[in-house]
Amino acid sequence: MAAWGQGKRRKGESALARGLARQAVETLRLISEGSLTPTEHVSEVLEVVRDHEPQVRAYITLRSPERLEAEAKEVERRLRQGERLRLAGLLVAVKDNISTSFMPTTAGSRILSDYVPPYNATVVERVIREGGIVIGKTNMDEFAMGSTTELSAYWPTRNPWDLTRVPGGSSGGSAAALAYGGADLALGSDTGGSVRLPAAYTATVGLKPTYGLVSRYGLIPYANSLEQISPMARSVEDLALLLDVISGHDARDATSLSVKPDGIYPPSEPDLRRLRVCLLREMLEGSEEPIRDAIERTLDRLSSQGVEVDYDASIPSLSEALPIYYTIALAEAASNLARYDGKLYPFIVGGPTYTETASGTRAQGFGWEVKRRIVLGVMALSEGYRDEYYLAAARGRRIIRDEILKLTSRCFIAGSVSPVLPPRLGERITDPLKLYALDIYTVVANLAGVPSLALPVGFHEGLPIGMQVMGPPLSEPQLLSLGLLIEEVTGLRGLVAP
Amino acid sequence: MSFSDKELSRLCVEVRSVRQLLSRVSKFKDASIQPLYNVWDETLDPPHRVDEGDRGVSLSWLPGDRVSEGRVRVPWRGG
Repeated sequence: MAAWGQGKRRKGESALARGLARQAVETLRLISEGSLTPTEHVSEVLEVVRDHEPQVRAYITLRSPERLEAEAKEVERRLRQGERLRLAGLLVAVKDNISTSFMPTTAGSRILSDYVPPYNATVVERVIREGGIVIGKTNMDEFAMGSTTELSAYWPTRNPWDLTRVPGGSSGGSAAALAYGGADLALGSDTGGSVRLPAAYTATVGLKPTYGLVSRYGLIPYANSLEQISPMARSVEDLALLLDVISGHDARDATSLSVKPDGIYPPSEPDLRRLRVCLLREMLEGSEEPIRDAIERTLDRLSSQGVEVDYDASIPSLSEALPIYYTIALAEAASNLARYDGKLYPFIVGGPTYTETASGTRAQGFGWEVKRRIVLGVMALSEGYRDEYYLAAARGRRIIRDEILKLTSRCFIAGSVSPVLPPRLGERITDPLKLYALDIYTVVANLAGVPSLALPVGFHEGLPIGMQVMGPPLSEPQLLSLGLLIEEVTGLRGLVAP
Repeated sequence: MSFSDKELSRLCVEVRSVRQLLSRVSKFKDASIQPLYNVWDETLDPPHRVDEGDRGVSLSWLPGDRVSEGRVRVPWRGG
C-alpha cells in the first residue's frame, strides 16, 4: 500500500542534504537577499555530488570545480552590475543529447565520443543568459532509445532511492542528479516518455511541453515529430521557472511555435470551480496495484477539494498507441541516424572505401538497441512495407491525436506514468517488448503533441510512484496550477533521496 | 551496418518479435483517414502557426577558430 509523505522521512539525512531539498526558487531568494552566494551554492552542491556520484553515476561529464567557481563568480559580477537574472547561480544538469559548445555532447553513444558541437542549443543559451550554470552533462540511453538509462554506451545510472533499481529513461541521469540533490534544475528530452518515466521513478517532476513550445535547435535528433526538450525539477514551481526561461519562439527551429501562453511562471492558484479531471481507464487498468491505489487516492483528495473528477473516461483506440508510436519513432530514427557514416564526427573506423568506413564506424559506434531500431525503421519505410507500417501508423496517429484533443477540450486527462514500480537493473533490457511496454502510457502525449506533467503521488516500500496529467495544446499554465494542487494534497514536494 | 553470424541470428529473433507488435498498425492501412505527419496540421488550425519569417542561421556568433570562409570548421576532419 502506498504511504503518504514517505519522502518526508529521510533516514540519516545530513544538514547539507536538507538544505538542498529546498526549492530552486528558495535558493534564488537566498542569493538575491545576499545570504547565500552563487560560489557557496556551487560548493554545497559539489559536496553532495562527491558523496553520491560514485554510486549513482548520473553524469557522463562534470565540469571542473574551478570552472564552476569561475562561472559562479561571473554570475556574482553580473548581479553586482544590477542585472536581473532569473536563474542566478542555479545549477542546471543538461542531458547529453543537448548541444553544448563548452563540453562534449555524446548522446550516450560511442559514435559521438569526443564530439564537441560548434554551438549551444537554444535552451542552453537561454539558461546561461539568465545566470544558470551548467554543472554537467547527464547520462542517457543511447540516442534516447530506452526507458531505463541502462542502454548508455558508458554505464548504467542507478536510482538514488534504491541503488538496485533503474531511474527510468532515457533522461535518467538528469532525474537521478535531481533526486540526490546534485543539481537545482535539469533539462531532458521526451520522445515517448523520457522525462516523465524518470520523474515517476525518482520522485521528481517532469513536463513534456506542447510540441513546438520549446526549441529543438541543438537537440541531437531521434524522432523529430515526437520529441521535445523538457524541463525537470524537484517541484512544480521550480519546473515552471525553467519552462518559462527555455520556452518561446526560435527562428532556428522550423517547428517552433510563434506563440507562448501567458502565466507559466509563477504558476497561479488553480480555479477549482473550473477544474475537471478525467481518469483514463486505458492509462490505469494495466498498472500494478500500489500505483492504481496512489493515483485513485490522489484523485479522491482532489475531488474533496472541489475538483470535478470523472473516474471512468475511455479512449479505446489507445490500445494501439504503442505500436503506432514505435513504428513512427523507428522510421524517423532510421532516417536521422543515417548521418553517422564515419565522415562527419570524430569517431571513425577507417576502411579502404566509403562503404567499408561507414559500415565499420556504424558497427562499432552504435550499440545493439540502436542497430535493432535502425533495421526495424528501415523495414517500416522500405518499398512494399511502407503502406503497411509507416503510412498505416501515421493514419492511426491522427485518430489518437483527434481523440486526445477532443477529450482534453473538456478535462485534463490523468493516468499512470508507468505500469510498474521502478524495475531492477537488468530486469527489462533482455526482451525488447518488455522494455517498450514501459512506455505504454506516456507515448500518447507525444503522438498528440499535447503537454503532459508527471509528478510524485506516493511511495510503496520506499519506491516512488508517479502520476501524469495531460492537457490541451498550450495549456501549460493550467497544467502547472493543477500540479501545484496535487503537490498540496499529497504533500510531496522538493524530495531528496536519503 | 555489418553483423556477425551470431549477431544476425539474435537480430532475426528480435526483429520477428518486435515486428509482431508493429504489425498491429496494419489495421489502419486502408482507413479513409489522412496520415498525420506533424501534429500542427490543418485539422488543428490554431493561431499557433510556425513562423516563416527569420529562418536564416548566422554564423557570426561562432568563435573564430570554428569558422572558415563563412563555413563551420570541423577540426577533426582537418577543415
